[in-house]
Amino acid sequence: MDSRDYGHLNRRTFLQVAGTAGAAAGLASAPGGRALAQAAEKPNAAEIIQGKSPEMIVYNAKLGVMGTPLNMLREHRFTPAEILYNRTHFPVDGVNKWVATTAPADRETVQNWTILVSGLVQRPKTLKVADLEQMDLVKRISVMQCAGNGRSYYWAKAKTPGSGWEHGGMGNLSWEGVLLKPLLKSLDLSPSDSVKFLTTNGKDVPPVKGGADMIKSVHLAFPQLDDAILAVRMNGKPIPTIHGGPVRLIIPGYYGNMCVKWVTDLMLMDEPTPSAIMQKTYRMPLMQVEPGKFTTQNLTRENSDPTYGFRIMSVVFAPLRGQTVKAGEVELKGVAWNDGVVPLTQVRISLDQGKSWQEAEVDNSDGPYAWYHWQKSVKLDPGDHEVWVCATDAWGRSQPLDGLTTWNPGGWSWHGVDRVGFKAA
Amino acid sequence: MERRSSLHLFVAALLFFAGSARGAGIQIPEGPGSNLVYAKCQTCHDLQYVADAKGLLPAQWKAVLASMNDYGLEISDQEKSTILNYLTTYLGPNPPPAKPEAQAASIDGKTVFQQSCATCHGADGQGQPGYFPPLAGNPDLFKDSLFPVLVVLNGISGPITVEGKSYNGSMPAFDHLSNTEIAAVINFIRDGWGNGSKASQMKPVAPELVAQQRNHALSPSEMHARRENMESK
Ligand code: HEC
Ligand code: HEC
Repeated sequence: MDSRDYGHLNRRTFLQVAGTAGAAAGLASAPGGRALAQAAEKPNAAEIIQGKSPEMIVYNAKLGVMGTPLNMLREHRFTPAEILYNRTHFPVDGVNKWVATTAPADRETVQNWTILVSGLVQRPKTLKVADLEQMDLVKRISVMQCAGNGRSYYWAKAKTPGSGWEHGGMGNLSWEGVLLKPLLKSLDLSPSDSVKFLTTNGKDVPPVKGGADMIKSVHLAFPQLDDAILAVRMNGKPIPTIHGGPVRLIIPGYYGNMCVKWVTDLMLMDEPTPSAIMQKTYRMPLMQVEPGKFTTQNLTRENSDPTYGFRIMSVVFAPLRGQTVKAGEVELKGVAWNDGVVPLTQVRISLDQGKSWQEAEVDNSDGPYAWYHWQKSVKLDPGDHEVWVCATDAWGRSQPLDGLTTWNPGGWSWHGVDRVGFKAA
Repeated sequence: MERRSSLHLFVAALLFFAGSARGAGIQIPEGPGSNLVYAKCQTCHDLQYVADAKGLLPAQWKAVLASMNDYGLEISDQEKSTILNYLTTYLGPNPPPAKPEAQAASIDGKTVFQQSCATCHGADGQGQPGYFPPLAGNPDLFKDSLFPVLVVLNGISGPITVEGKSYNGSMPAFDHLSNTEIAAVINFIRDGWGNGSKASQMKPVAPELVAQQRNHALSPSEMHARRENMESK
């Protein structure tokens, strides 16, 4: 793909880099740094979001969208904030600048933060985040994942708009918060019988007047909602601001876009929000569609579903793509997950392009919504190899051998069998 | 050896500093309509979305523009067709034409303003309270002969106050515009909307002046310092 070439080293950048090298070689002529301060135009992740590792892969600087390189992601059972992927929908400059940090909200912000619980209810109520912190907190270990994770693999069939995520748009996290449904019940809202959806809005605002807001609706009846929490802690600490602190809706097993950050409004509704970010994007067509014939504008409520729960998926963490390992006994490793509704029951690997499969050992000690860690020792001769990995759950849901069969115009929910080529020597 | 490694450190430090110095600066291929994309498509996200989508089929680009409309993009039908034409020609599945057709039309500041600045600063330079500062009646255009030129070349971001109102936005660099276009647009905004009386005391900006400034990129903090100094003058 040459699509990312623009902006990396354009003519102007090149001249500037050349200028820098020249000036540095002749130290005497360095004019106080000013003229030298012209090289790399693209800011690194740490400059965009305070506290992020500069190694992150930046997909949109203005929005602070960034992914984690797999060699870093695989090192941690719980993904630390400094390397956790980020997806925000509005610029992290200007009015939303306050979110561009991994630091938690300060005391004053927390003290003043309220959530309005309203909608089709007779008695709307206001919740204080400071009060939430004093209630019984429950823990949810859950994968957080962008619905666009893996999008770039669809591009082998046809380009889709959106960032070119590989597998780094996910992490495994431990959240703590107040159980949502009992909390709503305790508020004595007296909701209408017609209530079916929970609609959540956050404090982030669109960068132009009249721009579509980031508002999301979920079916209250779906099973994961029974496990949903209003979270105030991530990995044992107050939630980093960029990841939704001081308060984020966590629906375990659901894609990140449904887990609204910086919650200010919870609404009990009979219909999902008409907001464009709910109705026009983050939707999967219910049937197979062809590039150019079916576009994002053809998605409707009838022919598509919002990206709610994760499609079942597995990823190879070792060896990494293109790596050379020692021939002989080779440890294959990785993670797998699904939407948590039923357990994941099996992870199989193939070393002959799917002709034969071997079962891997699976550790699911972190519960139904977390990464299941899998591993398999194999004997490999020197030469080129390719490992495929495929997960299955108790409902028999599995991954397509050819992930391109779920190509869709927004490039959502990639869950094709991961195929990783490497060398043994 | 010793000397060499300290030189390396020095260069590394400069590069680090440089990294924090510039905005995203995503460039797209030059062609009829590219200026309109720079002007209309950077308010809500940067142009990496646009560059990364290279290869979309015409129907998909059409759908992208319709989606942007749903999200709040406001463009005229004429602008829409120019942009669509550009996107399908230069960022479609086929390689773009070798050379952009020479632009024969003479450059006038009003057209540059309408194409590149009016989206945010308003058709009459009135701005948008809380989002984009006004250019009409804005004294900052006259405090320093270079300042507006530097804003266009480097962009400007962070908290500023204009005529008692605060803004904390981010204007991208418009350094893809030619020296002649930048000179023309600055002269136009200095002359327009009743700004004229002050402009008469100022020398018009010449393309050569823009050319000189192009070689000295300023970081957001340097831009800010420049603005503050000018303020206190
Ligand atoms: C009013 C705000 C706004 C403006 C102006 C805007 N966009 Fe977008 N753009 C969005 C939003 C919102 C998204 C999608 C949500 C997200 O992914 O963050 C998006 C996403 C995109 C994407 C990625 C994929 C997709 O469709 O979601 C492309 C490509 C894109 N925009 C192109 C453009 C172009 C070209 C223009 C100028 C003609 C433009 N945008 C102007 C708001 C805007
Ligand atoms: C994408 C929106 C956008 C576009 C397009 C845009 N600007 Fe701006 N401009 C801004 C914002 C936002 C600010 C204030 C930045 C801040 O808050 O620090 C600004 C500030 C300025 C200022 C400084 C005002 C002051 O009082 O300090 C000038 C001068 C200016 N713009 C000129 C232009 C010109 C000329 C163009 C066209 C070539 C243009 N702008 C295009 C958003 C934009």
